[in-house]
Amino acid sequence: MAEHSRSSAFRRKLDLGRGILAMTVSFFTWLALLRQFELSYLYPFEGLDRVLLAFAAWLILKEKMSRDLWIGLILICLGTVFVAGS
Amino acid sequence: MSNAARKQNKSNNILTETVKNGGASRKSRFFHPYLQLLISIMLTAASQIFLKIGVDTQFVSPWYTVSNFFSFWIWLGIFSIIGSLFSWLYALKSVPLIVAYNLAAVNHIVVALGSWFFLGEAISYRRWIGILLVALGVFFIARPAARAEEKL
Repeated sequence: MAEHSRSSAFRRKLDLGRGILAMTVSFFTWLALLRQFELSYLYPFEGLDRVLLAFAAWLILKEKMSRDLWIGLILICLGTVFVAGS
Repeated sequence: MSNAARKQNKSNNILTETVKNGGASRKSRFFHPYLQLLISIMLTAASQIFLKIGVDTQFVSPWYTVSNFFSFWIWLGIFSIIGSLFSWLYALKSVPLIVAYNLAAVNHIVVALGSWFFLGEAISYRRWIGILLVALGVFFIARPAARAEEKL
């Protein structure tokens, strides 16, 4: 029992570490991008993380896509296309 | 009521607490969850603007990741992000997730307004349409996202 709880705590720490690492990488990537583009141009692209998340949940976790989710995803993609062309 | 129970009660529903004493104490008014939500959104937008200023004003170096850490604006941005995260988590303790996620859509508009006002960026009609579409999309996603989160 003690062994089990220790290993799960370790795994949680590992997950936390990975999360922090991913956030650090994304932060510096964001800074590098921010150097080259205007903020009002770049920020709408951040909405795409929800699209990726939804598709990952759909493909990997086999979650159902609701109608609202589809509408939202399409709107975000459409908006990003508009911003990219501006 | 025991001391511990009172403490528990206080941390659990600040909203009713504030209503009960008519928002009399300044501290409870500051910790009102919706105010914290607003603070979180404002800090998120501010952090993006600080980071943009920091990236624009720092000296150019091939080691840009290292030189970032010498910029006052970058640090201000980092601390704003941390602050916004804390007030976001605090607000989520008592605000329904659906409301919080809906309000997160406002972020896109606030950042656009901020970069127009503070950074002097010219935003074309096309870009405005794009930003509004993205915000609307995030608004639509709030409901399924909140439902998924509540399941966890």
